Amino acid sequence: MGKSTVIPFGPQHPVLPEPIHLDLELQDEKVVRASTSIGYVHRGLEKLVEKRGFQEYVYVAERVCGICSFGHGWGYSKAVEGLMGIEVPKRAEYLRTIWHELSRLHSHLLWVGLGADGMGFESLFMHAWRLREIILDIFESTTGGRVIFSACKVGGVRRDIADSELKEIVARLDKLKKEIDAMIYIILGDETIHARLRRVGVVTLEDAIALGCVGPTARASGLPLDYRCGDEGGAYKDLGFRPITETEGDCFARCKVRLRELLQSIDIIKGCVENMPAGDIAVPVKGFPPAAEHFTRVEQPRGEALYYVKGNKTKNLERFRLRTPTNVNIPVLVKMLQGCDLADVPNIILTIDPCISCCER
Amino acid sequence: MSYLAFAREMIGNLFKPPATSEYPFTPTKVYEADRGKVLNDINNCIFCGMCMRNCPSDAITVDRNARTWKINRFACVQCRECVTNCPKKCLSMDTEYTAPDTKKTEEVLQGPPPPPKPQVVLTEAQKAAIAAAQAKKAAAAKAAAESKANA
Repeated sequence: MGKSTVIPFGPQHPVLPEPIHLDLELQDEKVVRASTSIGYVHRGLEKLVEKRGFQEYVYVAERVCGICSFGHGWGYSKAVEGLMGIEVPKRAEYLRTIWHELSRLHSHLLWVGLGADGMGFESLFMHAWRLREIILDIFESTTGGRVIFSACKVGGVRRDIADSELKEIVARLDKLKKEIDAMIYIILGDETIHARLRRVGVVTLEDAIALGCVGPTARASGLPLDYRCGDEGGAYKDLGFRPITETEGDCFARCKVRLRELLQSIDIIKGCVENMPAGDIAVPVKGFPPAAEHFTRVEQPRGEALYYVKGNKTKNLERFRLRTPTNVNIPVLVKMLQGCDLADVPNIILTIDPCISCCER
Repeated sequence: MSYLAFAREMIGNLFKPPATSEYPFTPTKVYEADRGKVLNDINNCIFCGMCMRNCPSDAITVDRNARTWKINRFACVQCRECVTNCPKKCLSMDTEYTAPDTKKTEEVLQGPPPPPKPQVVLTEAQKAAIAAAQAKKAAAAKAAAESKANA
């Protein structure tokens, strides 16, 4: 064993979409220890809840992250609805589910692109992002925004999707599904991808439970942790949701979980369109949140996010707290990096799909 | 498993039209739902300030006395909250975005002067009725004051 060397990785690094810093302690080409530090994109959005009205804050909550923006808007609204005892109409719940699953589709397609870029597969990166454009167009035609949707509000949703438009979305998704099938065939069948991802960054089921990881990272280790089959709300209960799991726990398994979730999300959206109930899309919200607290969760594309709100009988909430999936996946990332090759570090970091701006808020 | 599994797709792409558009030369796709910049039909505006109170980014300032409606387009987050809350429906949303600028300017719209208040012409009988009502009110107030003093 030679002398160990510490090399910095990030915050600015070609494979990192967002700034996270890692100190990698190397012995020859092997990483023996890794330590992370975050704090490059902290914006203090949780504190803003004291300055903005509880209904206005939805727009701030959406801006926590550019990828799961609908999920954050939904999570905040759900927490405030629980605090105030508001029952959301069924149609609004179904519309929220559709937008949330579209978010998951575009997040996972974005991840396929970034992952491919991280291992030097530029053409797959371009291909995945081209498919993602179809989802962004659906978002733009239904909500008016491509990244920030402003579609969710406390008490329901702000826009309805007409039935004719829903049918058009299904037709577009059917077309997309064929392209995704072809892409999955390429990814799962390519020798180079196997060589880069198989048996790299393995998380055992015991480690996944002990380190408390969530989302596709946990599901790839055989831990069926998905809040959509819990009390998520939306249409998941009606549609009989089952989480997707793999057992290997390596980078390739995490990749497979996300690819299979792409197809599952399309099926969920189709199920929502078929069973779409008629009726109102929002209920009026009267009064201010009571002096109480409420806690809820939402299954984001990267895993389970926790929302906590505390009211004080005024227009502004007293406290809003958000724990995002990347926060809890960082310990498992550090564990995975111990003993890996330096060349595998980008793949390992990217397969947990880190979202640092979510993580720091 | 195979090597170059993506090669067929790549070669196929050589004969397909580009997925991107040449933006400044070809206009972008526009949807009806698009949220662009906020427009105000100032002649219908009553300067109630509902848009100002509901704006999450405090981009709109309404001065009722000066009859001005001011928007900082670079602070606006295009959430459509002002358009939804406008009681006169004089606010609307364009599908075009705000053009870039070198300075953070504000756009001020000056409303027309308020319409003159209608002059009311009273007949002799109405004037007498008003005078009688005022006298009755004064007498009642005097009686109330006296009863309070006695108590």
